[in-house]
Amino acid sequence: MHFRLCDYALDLVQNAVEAGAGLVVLKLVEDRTSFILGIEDNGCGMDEATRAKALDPFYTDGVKHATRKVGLGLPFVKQALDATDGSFLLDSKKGRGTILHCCFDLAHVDTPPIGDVATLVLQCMLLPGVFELQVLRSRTTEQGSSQYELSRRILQETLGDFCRGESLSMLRRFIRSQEDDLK
Amino acid sequence: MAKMTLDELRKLREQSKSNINRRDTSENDIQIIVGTGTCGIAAGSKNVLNAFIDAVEAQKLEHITIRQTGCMGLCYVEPTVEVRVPGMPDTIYGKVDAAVAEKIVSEHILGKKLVEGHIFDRPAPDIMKN
Repeated sequence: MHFRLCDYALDLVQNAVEAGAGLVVLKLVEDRTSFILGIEDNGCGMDEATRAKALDPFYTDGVKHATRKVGLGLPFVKQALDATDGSFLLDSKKGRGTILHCCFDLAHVDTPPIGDVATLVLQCMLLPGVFELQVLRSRTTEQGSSQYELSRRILQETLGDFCRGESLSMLRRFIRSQEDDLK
Repeated sequence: MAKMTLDELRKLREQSKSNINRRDTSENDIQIIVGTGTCGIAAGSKNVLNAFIDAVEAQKLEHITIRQTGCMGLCYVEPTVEVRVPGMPDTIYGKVDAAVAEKIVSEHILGKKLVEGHIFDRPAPDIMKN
């Protein structure tokens, strides 16, 4: 099991990007009792047989990593959800894309802590490749609800190549300010 | 930290282009590549990434690219980082934490000297074949 929920999310966003998606939507919805991680992409998708095998840790398509015999991203998150009374939905259509919906029960004693969402978003933005990433983040507490939305394309237009030194610092500062502002 | 708007981010970017007195690293192609496969994530690559950004920020180094990649085949010494500096051998460091990341920036990138005790080179050929 990963140490933080954000660690699962990065692994799965990476899957979406590596599936050749031009658009990835990352939803991070938090309230007092649950944390919903939603990832939708328009990448290569999977047929039904592949979708079923994707939850087997000893299955990998052999394309992404030709020498590898395991694929752990999805099995890890499914295992964590099964162990903590969470819910898991994986819908995929070959050639159309994939929708993944995970709902973690924050009240369950074995659910890992959420982790550092700002760094998760930064890491997702920095994944290599040409793709648009939309981040929809919200949090609901006793103080009310707050949210922010980010677009990788707009941030790239603003900062240029944000993998480079100072742009990267500014990107991190910007994302942290959005996260810190949540109630 | 007050919530920053996109306009404020744009202004900050423009300001930094003209105002900041950057240290000349004399090369433009320095790359730091952090492994963020499942193994890297589990071992704490996010702390390593943040430590590199902190170190680059502290040294005001602009001509450095920090990227991420998947598993480099060295899962047993994660977090792993590949450092490419022109004129030096491409080097893969393993068991990198925040302190080692700082050393890589100050000793390898600025001092042009390899950081001992963490060099793991590239994956062994048998791993690559299988």
